[in-house]
Amino acid sequence: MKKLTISLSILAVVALGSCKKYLDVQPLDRVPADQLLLDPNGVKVLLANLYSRMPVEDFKYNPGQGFNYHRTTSQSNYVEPGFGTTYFTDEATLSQGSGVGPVGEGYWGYDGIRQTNQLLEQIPSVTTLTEAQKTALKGECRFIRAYMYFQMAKRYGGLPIIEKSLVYEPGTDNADLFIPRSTEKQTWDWILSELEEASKTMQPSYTAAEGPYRATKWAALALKSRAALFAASLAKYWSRAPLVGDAVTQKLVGGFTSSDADAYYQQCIDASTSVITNSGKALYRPTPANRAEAVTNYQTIFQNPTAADVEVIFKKGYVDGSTTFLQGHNNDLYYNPSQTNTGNIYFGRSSPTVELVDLYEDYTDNGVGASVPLVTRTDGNENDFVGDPRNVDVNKPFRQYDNTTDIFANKDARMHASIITPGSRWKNVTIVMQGGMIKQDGSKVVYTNDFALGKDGKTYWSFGASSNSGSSGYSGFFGIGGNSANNYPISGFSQKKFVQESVTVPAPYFSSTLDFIDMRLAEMYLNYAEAAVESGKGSTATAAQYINALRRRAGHTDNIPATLANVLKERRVELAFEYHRYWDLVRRREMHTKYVTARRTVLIPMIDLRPATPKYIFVRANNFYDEVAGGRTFLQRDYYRPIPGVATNKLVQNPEF
Amino acid sequence: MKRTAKHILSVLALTALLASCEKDNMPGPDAQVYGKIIDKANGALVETELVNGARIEAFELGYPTQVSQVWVIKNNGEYRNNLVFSNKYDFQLRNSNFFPQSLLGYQIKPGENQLDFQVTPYLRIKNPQVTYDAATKKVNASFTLEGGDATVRLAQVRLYAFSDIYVGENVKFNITGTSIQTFANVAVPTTTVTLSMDIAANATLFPAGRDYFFRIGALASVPNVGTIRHNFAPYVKITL
Repeated sequence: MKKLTISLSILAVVALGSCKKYLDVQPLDRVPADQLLLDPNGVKVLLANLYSRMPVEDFKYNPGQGFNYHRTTSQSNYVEPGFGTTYFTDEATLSQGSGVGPVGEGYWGYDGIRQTNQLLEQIPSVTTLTEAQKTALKGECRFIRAYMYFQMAKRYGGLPIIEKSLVYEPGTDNADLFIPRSTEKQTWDWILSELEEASKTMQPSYTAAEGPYRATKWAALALKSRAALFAASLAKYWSRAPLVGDAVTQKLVGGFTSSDADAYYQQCIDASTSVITNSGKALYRPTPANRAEAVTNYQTIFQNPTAADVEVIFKKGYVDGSTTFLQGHNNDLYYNPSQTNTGNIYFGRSSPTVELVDLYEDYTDNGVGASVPLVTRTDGNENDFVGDPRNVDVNKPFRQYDNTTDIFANKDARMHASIITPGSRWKNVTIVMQGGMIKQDGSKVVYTNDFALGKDGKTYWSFGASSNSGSSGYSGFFGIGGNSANNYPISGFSQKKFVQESVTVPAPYFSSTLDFIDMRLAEMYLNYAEAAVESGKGSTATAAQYINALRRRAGHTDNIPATLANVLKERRVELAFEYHRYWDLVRRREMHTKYVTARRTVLIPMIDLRPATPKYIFVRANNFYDEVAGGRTFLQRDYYRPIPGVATNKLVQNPEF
Repeated sequence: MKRTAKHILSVLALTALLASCEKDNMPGPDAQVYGKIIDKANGALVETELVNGARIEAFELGYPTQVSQVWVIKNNGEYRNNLVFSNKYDFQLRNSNFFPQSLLGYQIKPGENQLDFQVTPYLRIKNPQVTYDAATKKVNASFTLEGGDATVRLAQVRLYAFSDIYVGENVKFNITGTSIQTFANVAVPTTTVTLSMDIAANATLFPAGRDYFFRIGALASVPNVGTIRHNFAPYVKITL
């Protein structure tokens, strides 16, 4: 009876509804724009959509595919790992091998820009917001739009700048739709001025619930600092990798002068200073009592960002993607070593290079601030990287260690907080990453698990344990060069930053909800320091104060001068795995000279059974997959990506495409 | 029964799909273009490499938007493209190992077309000598260099080795040391340059009794010409 009533009433509604303007029916599965804008929460819905479309290079950015990447049409489908630009650089390689840049051209963000323009145009007609709220909201939209343009400008150079939603007129030639590219300089200038204007009207803070997830004026200025440093570096170093072609003649790429560089560096200094002095942000626990505390503090920032909100300017949150479709990320699954894997078929995927580990300071180097390579040899030759470690000469003067941990003992706290090293403790398990063995007779086993007796009568395994699964097994080197097992770091190291030690994340895909920190105060310090040192503007003393503040937080008690080398090194170690490195190499035009059939490097801990008590040696070697590929090359043209669809959008193509 | 129905359906679907595949009636590429990149000063071929070496950018005219086709040049400086549409073309020779030049509105006729380009290489490698000294187990190279014009400066010289004839900057054994010299864009030296490669120290790359291919390369530094690719001498085969 009840059903009948309902059916009848639905029929009545439908029947009556169709009495007038039969063809003007509003779709029933979506809310019309004017209705949505009547409600302040409706505006929030639109805004949330724009935030979700922001091209943040986070855990879900896949350089080959694009932003917010989920390769699935249903939750059970095959999922391709996301992985960021870290693996296109000297910071790390994937355990299954990975190339070196360029990122794919998978971001042509004009759909998001159009939606932002539409909201910007609708804001004035929203009756439920105060004028002040409208102004703040407009600023927020302009920030989001500038963010989208920034990500495109990094990839394509000069862009068509579209500040209103364009209308397609059927039956005309639509000449107005074909907006040509602005010059690269105009594009950067526009992005910087948009961020400046946005920051003037955006709110300085939000409620605790929204916190740094919502962009404040400080986020706009922090992005301005980042973008200005990018533009300044381009202006200064573009000629390191010059290009020719129509796009260059028309200054759609390049075309900067040295005074442009100075002006951009100044903008970077101003924006950074404004954030540092006015935002109320501070370094999280800046003065640890000892190194152990420094390790804990620094690690906390990345595995519990809420605790470190004092330092965080802008971050991205996630909800569990195993229960909510298209949400969540996989960092905890992909990067936990085998011994702490919770059951996903992907794990142990990250292999940080020994080049990065070498870069960190040693606490015994007081006053110099130089990187200190790990000591693997007694003759001091730390530049001897063997191509194929299966051919290593075991009689070279390797330094023998009693265990696999002493070699790292004095390294910077940030190294211990960012990287899992062989023999270190992780989730209350001693992580075993060992790649080979020298038997009593001097024969060697490398990249294969085998066992042999030591002179002490005990049995030892070349991979450090007999099993490749479980907490008592091993975590490294298994299946190297094979097709199936890519879950074992091949470099002797595994990534710790942005992986949660205190939280156990279950096995289903997209179960990770750890926040991604997009902007934090430390980057402002480093942006300021680099701009000051590069341009001679600002204050070198302040620059030194900033980099030493970061070092003090890492447990260093000495001060180092703000030289360019120190500032760049500090940037690499402080911001490692935060997806800055690739763009730092690009904006400073260092990729194409660093990568000409070049190999990234690894460290292979091996047990030596020749002494009475087994010892450990560490063999420096080339990354297996880089070696197999004949090295990695980054072409000069790849600093810019090809503009998509030039045959139809009539834009000028970038050089050499 | 259900399975049979499914099979019938898929066969029907396949038939429908295949039925719609019809050969288009457009004419295919009807021209072949071949030629040489020749040093205009001495008539020698300008050596390059297949992977990421010198190239010819061709633009077929007559379309609203010109899209570049990249024709690769063989290591010895010759090229051939057998699948070209006869039409007018613009050719841009740039981002290579010789001074940029263009050839605009060139008519490619149906059939064979010989099109040689007379260019000025950035660097000429003169009197290249590559020999193996069995006593020291070293491969020694000596040569002199000549810049294409007065603006050319020198960034690097290197002796490359590989196991096949495609040896070059992008196809090589990863050997450094005395086989490479890098400069901060210096004036092109007039004296003889020598390089050597220690075969004994890289024994794992050179199993005995096989042929290896050695080649001298030099990288120029020239302002405002875009990407600069290496100039090479012809390879030398040595059995070790």
